[in-house]
Order: sequence, then structure tokens, then C-alpha cells
Amino acid sequence: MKNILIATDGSEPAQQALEVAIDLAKETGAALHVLSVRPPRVAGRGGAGAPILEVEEFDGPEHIAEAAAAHAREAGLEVTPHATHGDVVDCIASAATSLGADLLVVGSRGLGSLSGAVLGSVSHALVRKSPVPVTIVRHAAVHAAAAS
Amino acid sequence: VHVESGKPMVLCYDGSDDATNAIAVARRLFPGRRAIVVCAWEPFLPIYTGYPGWPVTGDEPMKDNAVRLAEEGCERAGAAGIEATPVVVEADDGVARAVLAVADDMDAGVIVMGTRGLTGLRSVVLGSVSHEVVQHARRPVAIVPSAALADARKSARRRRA
Repeated sequence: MKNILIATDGSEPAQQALEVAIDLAKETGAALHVLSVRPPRVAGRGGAGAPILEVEEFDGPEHIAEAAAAHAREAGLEVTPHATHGDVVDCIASAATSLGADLLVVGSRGLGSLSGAVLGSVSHALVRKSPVPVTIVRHAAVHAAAAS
Repeated sequence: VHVESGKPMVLCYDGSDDATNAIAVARRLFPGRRAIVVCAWEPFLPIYTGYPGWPVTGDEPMKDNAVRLAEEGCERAGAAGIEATPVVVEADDGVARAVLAVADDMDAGVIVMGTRGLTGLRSVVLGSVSHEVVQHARRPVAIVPSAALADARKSARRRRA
């Protein structure tokens, strides 16, 4: 395995996915690519209103990708940050192709015990669209690991 | 969450080309890791057993097939250079739950599945097993697209680029 692509929006599940990607890169000697995507503004979310998430800020993805890359570099890895804007799933799947990624790693909120929310829509869509294998790191796993 | 290198990977195997491809890809993605090849079989509903003219009685044929598949999966893993152990489980609460239970028992570092997932009565919907595994897993899950699917998706992306 030569290249691992980790997609992050700076959220807690994405942080967990980054840790897994770092582990795998260390284990295999693969180079790490960190991608953050600024999604298009959605009608009904205030149009051109103030960003709600950091990733929605104009230079948010650059900051998020660079912060994640800096964290991975502390582990002694070769890391390249990437930032772009557009449809999140499309951008990630395209980057996996253009960067020649062998593996894509993403986080997922998974099933919330209270909310009953379903698998994160981005990770689910990536399973259907990614040209390379996808490793999904479910956020709830953190609580299980902490409890054991 | 960490993928500890000492922990085994769980390989879901159903004898399909997709599952075989997933084994080969797992060798590349998680080199040096030992594997547990899981094959789950779903028990027949009691209503079908012993029905006159029905070719099978009881679950033995299903179970035997699963045992054979698990061994075949291990052979393929071995041929790919993976040290593998077969595990056969009765999936009385669905294939996904059975796979997850094995992964928990073995404290697997990662679960690897082909896009199509496993065969079985409840997995007729494409990818439903892998979907369920991802939703409930307490560890990372790697979903591997079939070689044909990966090629088609890659060339579609390149055409658009």
C-alpha cells in the first residue's frame, strides 16, 4: 500500500478516522493524504449566511486539512494536505482516483443511541461511489473502546 | 480508535468473486496481519424443514456448505500469503450480527468485506449486510469494491476530470 487518503471535516468522528489512518500508514509505510472539502451552500440553510461549521468557512478546509496533516506529521509520517470545494462525496471519490489512493479512510457518526440517526450519509455514499476500498471508522466505537 | 497491528482482521467470505477479491486486497491494505475467515449460515425457518418433497431437511446442508466455504476462504487467504483461521457461525439473528459477534469475540482490529457482502436470505438487497455491519461495528470496517466496480468507477472519474 503506497497512498492512504483520509477525508476530514474536522469533526470528532473524522479525528478518529485520522488516528486509524495514521496507524495504517505507520504499519504499511504508506504516504498519507489529508483532504478537506468545503460543501456548497445549501438552500434553506441560510443561503449565503454565516457558516455554521468550520468546514463551511471560506478557508476552513485549508485550516482543517493542515491541522490534521500537522498532527499526522508528529507521528513521523509523510503527509500532504489537500483542500477543495464542491460536492463532498464527489470531491473525495475524485481525489481518491487522482491521488492514486489505495485506501480511503472516513469517519462516521453511526447510530446514535439517543438520536437513532443512521450511518453518516457521506460515508454511506462513499461506499457506493468510491473507486478504492473505504475504511469506515464509526465514532461510537470510541465509547466502546473506552469502556473496555 | 486505533487499528492495532497485532490484532487480527476478520475476512467475510461467501465464495463469491467479490469476497475472493476482498481477500487479495486485504493482503495489500493490511499486510502481515493474521485473519479470521468468517462464514455465516442462516438456519432455515422451521416451517420448511421436513416439508414433503423439500430437498433438504434440517440445517445440516447449510452448515456443511458454510464449513466448506470457510475452509476454501482460508485456502485462498493462504495462497495470498495470509495466515488464516476458519470460523463458521450460525446467523440466527442475521449475517451482519453474526459477523460482528465474531469480530467482538476475536477482538479484531478491522473487519474486511466485499461490496456485495455475504450471501444469505437477508442479504438479497445489495450491500445490506455491509451496511448493517458498518452501522453497528465497534471497530473499523473496510469495504472493498469488486475489481470490476473499482475499474468502472475509476474510469468514470477520469472521464469527468
